[in-house]
Amino acid sequence: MWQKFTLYDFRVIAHYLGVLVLFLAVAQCVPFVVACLVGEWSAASRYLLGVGIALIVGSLLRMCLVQPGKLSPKHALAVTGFAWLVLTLLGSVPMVLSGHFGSYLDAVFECMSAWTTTGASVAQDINHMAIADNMWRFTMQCIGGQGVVVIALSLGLFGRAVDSSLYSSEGRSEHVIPNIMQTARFIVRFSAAFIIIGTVMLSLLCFFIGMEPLRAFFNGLWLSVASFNTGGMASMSPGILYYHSGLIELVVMVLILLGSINFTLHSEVWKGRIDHFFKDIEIRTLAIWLSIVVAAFVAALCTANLYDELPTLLRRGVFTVVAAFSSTGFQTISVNQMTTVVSSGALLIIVFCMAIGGSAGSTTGGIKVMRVGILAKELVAYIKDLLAPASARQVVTYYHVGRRPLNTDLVRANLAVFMLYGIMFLVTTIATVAYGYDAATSLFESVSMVSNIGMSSGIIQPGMPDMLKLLYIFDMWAGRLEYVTLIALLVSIVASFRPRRRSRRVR
Amino acid sequence: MSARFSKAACAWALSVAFVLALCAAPAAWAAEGDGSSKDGSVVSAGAEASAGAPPGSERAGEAAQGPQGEGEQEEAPAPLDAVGNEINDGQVSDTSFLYDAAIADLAGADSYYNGQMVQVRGEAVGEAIRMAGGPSDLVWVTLADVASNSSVSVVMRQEDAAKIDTYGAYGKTGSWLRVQGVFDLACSEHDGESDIHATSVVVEDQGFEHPDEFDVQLFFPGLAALAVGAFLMVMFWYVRERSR
Repeated sequence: MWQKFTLYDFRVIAHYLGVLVLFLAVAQCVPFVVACLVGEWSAASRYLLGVGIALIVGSLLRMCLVQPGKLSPKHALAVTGFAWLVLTLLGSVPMVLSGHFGSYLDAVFECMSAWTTTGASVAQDINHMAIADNMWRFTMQCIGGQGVVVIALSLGLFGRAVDSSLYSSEGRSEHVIPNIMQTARFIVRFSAAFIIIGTVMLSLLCFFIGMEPLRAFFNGLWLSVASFNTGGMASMSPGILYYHSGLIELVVMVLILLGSINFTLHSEVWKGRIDHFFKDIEIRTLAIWLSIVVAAFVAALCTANLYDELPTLLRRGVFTVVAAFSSTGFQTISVNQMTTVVSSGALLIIVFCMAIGGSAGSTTGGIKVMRVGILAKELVAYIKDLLAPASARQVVTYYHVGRRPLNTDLVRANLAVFMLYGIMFLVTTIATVAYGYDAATSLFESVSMVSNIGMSSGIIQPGMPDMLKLLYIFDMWAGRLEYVTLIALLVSIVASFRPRRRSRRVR
Repeated sequence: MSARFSKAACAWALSVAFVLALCAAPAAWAAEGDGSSKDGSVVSAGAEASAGAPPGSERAGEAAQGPQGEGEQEEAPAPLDAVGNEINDGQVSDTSFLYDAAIADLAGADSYYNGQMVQVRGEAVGEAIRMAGGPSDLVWVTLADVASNSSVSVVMRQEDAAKIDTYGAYGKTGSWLRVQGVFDLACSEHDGESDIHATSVVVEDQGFEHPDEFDVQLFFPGLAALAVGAFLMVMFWYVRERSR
């Protein structure tokens, strides 16, 4: 029995989507103001148009239902699912008019990549992009990294019409603070603090390497936003390699690590409960997993004879692994080196690293180490059960802000997400290979898209096939919502429009 | 008579040949270089007679090839054993110089280009980045090729970078450079980065600024959309208040 939407449901969903679209209009004021301040009048006119269109669409959507009731979990699911798509479609309007994109589809790809903090780019001539356009790309990453709904909740845009279902539907299942609005505000304030500190440090470093003060500030801000929100976009075509600075890479890496750890754990550390941090299943799994991956990747780099010195080897190896697991996607090993010098085995290690991803309840993508940890525990418990006498009963627990029982529902949910990711990796790789790309690079690109990483082995380019762009857009969208939300939503919509079967009359 | 004439003619011919041989030896020695300066010295745009020629234009091409073309016309074929010529019996086919490697080729280069002398043309973008931990007189400059959407990092001396008057950014077209240097796929001197160590930098075309000019007409569509949006917002507020 599938849940179905009635016309009233669609009107409720449209109303709340309208609220988010109006929020988009406010967000577009950021690049508009920046454009006016730096004298980029062409960009200013584009963002003014973007604000106007968002106001029109937002108001029309809100008029679908003037007095909406409280959001049910079903509505919350749909609002969150559609929000990312609607915001992408509308946010692309000023971008496509900039002349840096070959088509509207390219602009949509770029915006979806920014909103979902994937970081892959199909922009052309990015070195000449307006400051306002870059500001919009990084604003989208900032909002998307925190979560559109989280930001909207923290600003109180939904009023009292929401419960925790809206918060949970965005892939966040944990409340840092019992009240969801306060939780959202904690996340936003906490992130803002780190982004500001990061901006100051990175701006100074950019200034010291020879940038003009204004460019140093903007580059520092964008790097900070892209690092903490694990977005990974860059304002120059060589990416993070443009800065040629180990210190900048170090600060970026610290910000990435801070952004890729569960906000609940940050909260616990903030409260002085440091033992929660070290006992946590996520942190322990992450420590073990990253140690294995770093060791394997560095060993693979050694065989490639890419770097002569151990410090350089470690610097490049550790940064790449951190950027991959956290779904940031910055590359200090260039695309060319990845495909020509580095062995395909090293590429495969990064693929595994990207697939597993980071910490749940953070800004990272991928399957998440929490799920892997829980499934590993379940596997051990299963083997123990096989070996134990039939009368024996074992209680399996895991530690995450206190000891919790490992129940069947949790394992089922985690297994479902794990399988969905696996299926999408497979489907996307097959589709990419079908377009004639190499198997290794196709697998790399597919996992990168599905897990919202943004690293590229050279396939993602403005000239790639449109169907592949569409598939990758879907991957990014679905990956950000961890598939379950989107699949549940799509099934509900299909079920809503499916004609009812005529019941057979019993004669 | 004819015998005496032929002797005199032979003497003249021999003396002319001797003089030509003497002239050809230094000419051949001078022609060993390719016209570019060595050891990182800058060849100025004026000396190359290419100032003001748009990148990729025939004029720029002619300017780049000019000195060689003239040399070919004036050079007389020199005998192999002429003074100053050194014959290397162990010389094998030489691929150490690749003319006009495109930036896109280097950005997607395989190991074939590694360690080769290349010549690339591109626009200097961003700014000159100071080299951390290296010699203080070296900087990084990014050369970009808009057409292929690719770029390459170049290590050059500060005096070379000083020739760049404008770096490409929004509202700025950067200086168009011709860089000769050694391409490293993973440079051991610079933490494994792919780069070109420039030996010669020529500014083929100076950069220029083209800032946005305020034009109120650009804002008309946005203002119209804003007005309609504001009207709809007020309408919604009015309808909601009426329905309460």
